[in-house]
Amino acid sequence: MKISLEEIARYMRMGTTLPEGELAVRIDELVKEAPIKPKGIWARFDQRFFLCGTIGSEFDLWQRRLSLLSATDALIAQAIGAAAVEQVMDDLEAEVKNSLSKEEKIKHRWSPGYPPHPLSMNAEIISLLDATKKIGVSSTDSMMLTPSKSVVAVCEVIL
Amino acid sequence: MKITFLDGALGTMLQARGLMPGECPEDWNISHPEILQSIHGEYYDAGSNIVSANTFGANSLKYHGKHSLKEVICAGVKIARGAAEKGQGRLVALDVGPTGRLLKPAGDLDFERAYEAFSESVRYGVEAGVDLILIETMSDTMELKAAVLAAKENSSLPIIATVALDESGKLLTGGSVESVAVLLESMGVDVCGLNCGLGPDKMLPFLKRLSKSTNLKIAVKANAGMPKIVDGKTVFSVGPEEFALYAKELVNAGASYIGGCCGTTPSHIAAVKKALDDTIPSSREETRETVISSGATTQALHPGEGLIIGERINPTGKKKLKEAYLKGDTAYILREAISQIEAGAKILDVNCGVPGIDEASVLDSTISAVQGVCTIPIQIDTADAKALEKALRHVNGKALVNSVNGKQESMDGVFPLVKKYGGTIVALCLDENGIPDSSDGRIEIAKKILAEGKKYGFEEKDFVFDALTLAVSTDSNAAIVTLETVKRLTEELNVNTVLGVSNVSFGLPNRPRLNNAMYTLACKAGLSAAIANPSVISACDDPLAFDVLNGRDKNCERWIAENQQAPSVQTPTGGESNEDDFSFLRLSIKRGIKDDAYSIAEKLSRSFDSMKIIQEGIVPALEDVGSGFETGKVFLPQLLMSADAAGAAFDAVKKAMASNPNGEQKRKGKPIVIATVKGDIHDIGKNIVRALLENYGFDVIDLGRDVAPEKIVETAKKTNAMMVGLSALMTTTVGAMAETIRLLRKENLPCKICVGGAVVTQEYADEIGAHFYAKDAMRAVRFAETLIDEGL
Repeated sequence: MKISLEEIARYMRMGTTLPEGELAVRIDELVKEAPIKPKGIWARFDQRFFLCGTIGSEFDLWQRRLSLLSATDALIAQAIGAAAVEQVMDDLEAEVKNSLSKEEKIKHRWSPGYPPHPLSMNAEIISLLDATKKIGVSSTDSMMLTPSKSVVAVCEVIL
Repeated sequence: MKITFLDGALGTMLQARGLMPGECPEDWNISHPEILQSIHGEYYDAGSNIVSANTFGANSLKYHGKHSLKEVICAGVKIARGAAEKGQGRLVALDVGPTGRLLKPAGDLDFERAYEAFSESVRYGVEAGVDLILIETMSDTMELKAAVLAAKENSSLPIIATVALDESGKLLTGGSVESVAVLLESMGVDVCGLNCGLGPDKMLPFLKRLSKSTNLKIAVKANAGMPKIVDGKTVFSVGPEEFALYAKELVNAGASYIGGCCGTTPSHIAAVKKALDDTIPSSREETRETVISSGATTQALHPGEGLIIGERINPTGKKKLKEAYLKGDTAYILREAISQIEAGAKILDVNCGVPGIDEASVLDSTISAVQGVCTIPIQIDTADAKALEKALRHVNGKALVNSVNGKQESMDGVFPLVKKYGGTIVALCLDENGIPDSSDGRIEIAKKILAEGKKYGFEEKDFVFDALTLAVSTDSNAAIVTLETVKRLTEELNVNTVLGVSNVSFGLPNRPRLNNAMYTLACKAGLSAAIANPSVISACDDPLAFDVLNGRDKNCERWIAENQQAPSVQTPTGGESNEDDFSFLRLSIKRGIKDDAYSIAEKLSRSFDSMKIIQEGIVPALEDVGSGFETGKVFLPQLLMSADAAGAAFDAVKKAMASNPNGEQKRKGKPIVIATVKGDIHDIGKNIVRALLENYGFDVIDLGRDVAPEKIVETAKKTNAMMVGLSALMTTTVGAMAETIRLLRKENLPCKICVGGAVVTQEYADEIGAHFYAKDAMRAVRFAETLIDEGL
């Protein structure tokens, strides 16, 4: 899976500045080491597509481990994970677009938890997609997704 | 023995008859009993010996339908019973599927909550009259364990347990086929196997691996190929005839219970039945390996390999670890775990025997935390029966249990627990009369333990025998007896062995050298595993040490003469350092080059006082980077790289101080307790704050993530903390932050409360009564510094 350095830098709060030197070297090493198991699922319900993607729970263990040893590594890992799961979602969205008929288009992808869409939608969408059984994504009591690098999203069809 | 036929998909059949996505299938037990009875009937008629009731999602954590759980389970079982009664020899299984939630430490669900949910369903199923329990589609060994335990403790019915693999042959949570097999066999289920996830072709190689790693009977329920979306509908690619061909291969590979999962229909089962009706399950080679496991991997033990069981998480004689346990500083313990794995440990011993702590609860939480960051198997090390039971119940995988001995009381205490929860037993060759001074005596005790164990159904492979190491300084024959016992246990009793080698050198100089020699000789004698410090122990060729161990150095005289002169620590090499090195140190920290920072600080500490190095080398560099961050010139990753480099420099200085008798590094002020609040499992922000605080010289106690308010308050009180730092990422967990602050305030503790996290704002911090809102990690450090200035 290709993860862009620009995206990693953005998730490390570096804006558009690209990492150099030691930092760039370390990012490269960690990208190679990261246990990323991309999995995704989507389904159409009338005029809405529901999408769910994850990079798996092994990544979480790896990131927890790094965070005990080096804060830099933990930050880089977190950014790699965020960029990777976004990539999974982009790939899913591309599949969704491919499934559309000629006259259909989709609006930009959004996720529950960003107003006005309540976080509680996550659990409903996971259930509709059977995402826990199929790709191992579930929602906690406090409505967080596990594995932590997972995303639930919605694309609406416009004619 | 014949093949037992299971049923095919139920969900697929229900969807074909109108079940909508998102609708609770179990509600159909009440609303459409006739449809269910007809599907069950079709499966029985197709040849299924066992049909599963429509209860897959019927547990209190998952089921949110229109009826009570008891109603849907009892109705579901009753419907299946109705179909079963129309023929001979038809059995009904309670279908137990996952909760849909991820258990700790990967998720937030408590093991006991999952166990309770499964138990409730099993009780209803038993009451309604099922014949067996079928646990299926599990994708996490922790949850699988909770379900099996619930079935065992709430019924005496046979248990079939199967898991779902992905294309790489792993569970969604990362576990291997072998880790599943080892866990299920040790927990004593009747049949283990695979279902869902894959078509029969893709399942075949993994089934072969499963078959090799267990002596249990094997069940398989494959999908009818991989699902495809055709015209908006899910279609499965493998038809009945093709499915039956594969089924034959699955039986050849070791399966003796066969059915189908998603996409299979009564026609699939009928075809399988037709193809296999006269087939006799193929015979499989029995496995006699001693294997333990974690949730993710397995570890086999073999004579002569001497694999290392890391001994560093044992507070005996380790002041810092003892303190970490008393303070609840989990991060310190976890770093010990990780460094041992990096040094080559294959199993981790976990012992928390510190006087005055609640061993049962600390051992339990420590193992859970260790398993949250490490995937190698665990050795549970305790003499406390309550602590052992709790740890065995909650450990992920099949653990080593340290230990049982030949005393009747010990065997009566340990064996039933291992029988119930699974495990491999470390058995010490001692009994009521102490440690025999001959190998004959120790072998006798080993035989006694084995004989007693067999009454519980344990075999040789369920044990690892500790031949016991005693000090050669008090008895020159000690090592000879130990080595002889290892050899005889290996050759005569055909069992695996373990030793804690370091006892051998007790009372003598240069202990590591002698320990390595003991390790080397023991491996030659057949030692399977050594409990040791992996960063120190290694095989060696050391004639003098071998002489000592073989009793050829009277009173260890030659050893003492040679080794008393030996320097205890290597004298540092390299030239004197000068003032220039301070600027190099600062530069390496600013650039975030860890290795350079360490080596320059090490060099400096040979010539300069440690306070000078900290004040003139480390702190100014951190200050520069910190203010650069505050003015936007430096980004977060660079700030952290510098903090990590400063940390490395601190370590070098600390090391130098440790060899200096006056040296105990002074931390700034009283401790700071930090935690991510209850319900919140994201802790990257908190970890960044911890790293910065530590590298600015503060004494940080990190309680981890998802921490209950009571624990935070208790720790702040106990350690007399000057500051409590709380982090929350989500709107759904900031409530727990408010609750924690309320409790802290109620207790009237003198500490200051600092909060931060993605959704926290200044307004919210004010509203919930925090003293300070840290917009970023640097500000938390600044706040802590003001507390020092105020003299807190």
